[in-house]
Amino acid sequence: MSHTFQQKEFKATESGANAMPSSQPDFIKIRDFDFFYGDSQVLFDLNLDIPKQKVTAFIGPSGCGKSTLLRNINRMNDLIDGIRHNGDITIDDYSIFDPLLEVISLRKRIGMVFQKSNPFPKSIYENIVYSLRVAGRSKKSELDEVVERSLRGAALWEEVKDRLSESAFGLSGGQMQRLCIARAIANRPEILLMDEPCSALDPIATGKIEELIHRLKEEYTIVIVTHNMQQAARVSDRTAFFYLGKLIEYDETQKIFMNPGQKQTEDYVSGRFG
Amino acid sequence: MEPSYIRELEAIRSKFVLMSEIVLENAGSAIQALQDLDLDLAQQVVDRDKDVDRLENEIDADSIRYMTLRQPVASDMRLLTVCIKGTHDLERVGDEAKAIAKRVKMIKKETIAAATLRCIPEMAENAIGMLRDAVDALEGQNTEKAMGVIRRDREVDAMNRSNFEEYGQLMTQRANEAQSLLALILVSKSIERIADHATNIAEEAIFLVSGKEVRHSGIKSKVD
Repeated sequence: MSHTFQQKEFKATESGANAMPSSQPDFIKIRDFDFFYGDSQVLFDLNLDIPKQKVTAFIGPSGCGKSTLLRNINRMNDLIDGIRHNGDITIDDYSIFDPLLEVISLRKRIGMVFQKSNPFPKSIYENIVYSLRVAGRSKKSELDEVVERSLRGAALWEEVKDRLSESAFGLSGGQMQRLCIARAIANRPEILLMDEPCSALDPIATGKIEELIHRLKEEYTIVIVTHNMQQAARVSDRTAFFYLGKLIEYDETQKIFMNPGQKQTEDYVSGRFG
Repeated sequence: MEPSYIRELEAIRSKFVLMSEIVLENAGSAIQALQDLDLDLAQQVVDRDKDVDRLENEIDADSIRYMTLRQPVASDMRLLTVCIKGTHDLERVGDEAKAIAKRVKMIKKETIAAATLRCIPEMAENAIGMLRDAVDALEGQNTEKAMGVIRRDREVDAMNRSNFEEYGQLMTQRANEAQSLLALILVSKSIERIADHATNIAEEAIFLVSGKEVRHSGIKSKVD
């Protein structure tokens, strides 16, 4: 019999040092984590704790492993052949790698937003309710409520409320990305993973998404991968700097950008390499 | 070859160093003019102060431009804020040197001849030495040197208090030299202010290196 993620019998993995003492409860814990694509190791002995209802930014040059780590948090890498890991990642003290865990129950708790907006070839309304329909929920009043709540949560409701039946492809790039955020929060996840969510957007659309991230952290724990240093500085509470698959420094965002402890971090955030 | 943004930052740093050299030279010349009652040298100090003012404006503008266009962080950002604040201190030192130079013509030969300069030359040597060390500490990112500057400020303060007392007494005894003696009191105050600005720059040097703000932290009493 498999387990859903909410079941309490999963035990916390307590090994590893707390990489970031915090007044917030640590929600996602990454412990002694190595990750391999075949024979190639891409993440090395990572230890970090991600606090609840905060925005944590992963930064680092291309190939440093930040997206790979992000995709491990909801086990998206499971789809790739030949991957393996050592160590553990826990959410709420439950291991996400427990063999008895249903991956679908994990992903219900975690919404994901990608670099390129990827709406389904359906109406705005159907994009939001798609996962609910798959789960067998079809009561119109419930679906209507979810659509309005999700679109309001993604700061898109006022712009699209009169054209919910129109194709999602008619939206602008920034609106499509906010639609994807609305879709990601339709199931009321606890965690939002964002992989370069603004890299394809203009500054105005980027500003809207960043403002949205500020509001969303009141309800969600957000982990964002970004190449944009100013964006990491603007939106995140904590920043983790990775280089060549290793965590170089993890601290309050203000500390990372004003007075980092490691020279490598200083050189990266000030544009001297990467 | 260094990337352009690093060269631009270095150019701002170089201007700051140039400004500090002019200010140091002007402060030294002002004291020399006072000791020799050399009105020509005093006038040169007054004239050169325009260069100090111009450099202050240039460094401020360059720093603001860099912050706007380059969006610096960490030690780069600290360097720019230190340059902006430090140039303000240097400009004030320039003003104090100019004030000393302008007072040279108010001082009578007999006042100087009577050796009433007292500890002003030593006090000036200390204050200008502090400024030199503060600028070196900033340039060389040397917090020990900066702490030494902060430590020495009290000596200059004590000399200034001593000058105030002694010149005050002399003014009652030598009324015909009152104007000269009043000028020397004001010169003493200017030198004491130069030491204060040197201390500010030393505190900025500590901020530049460590990211820690030590102004108004009681550091002066702690370093004794």
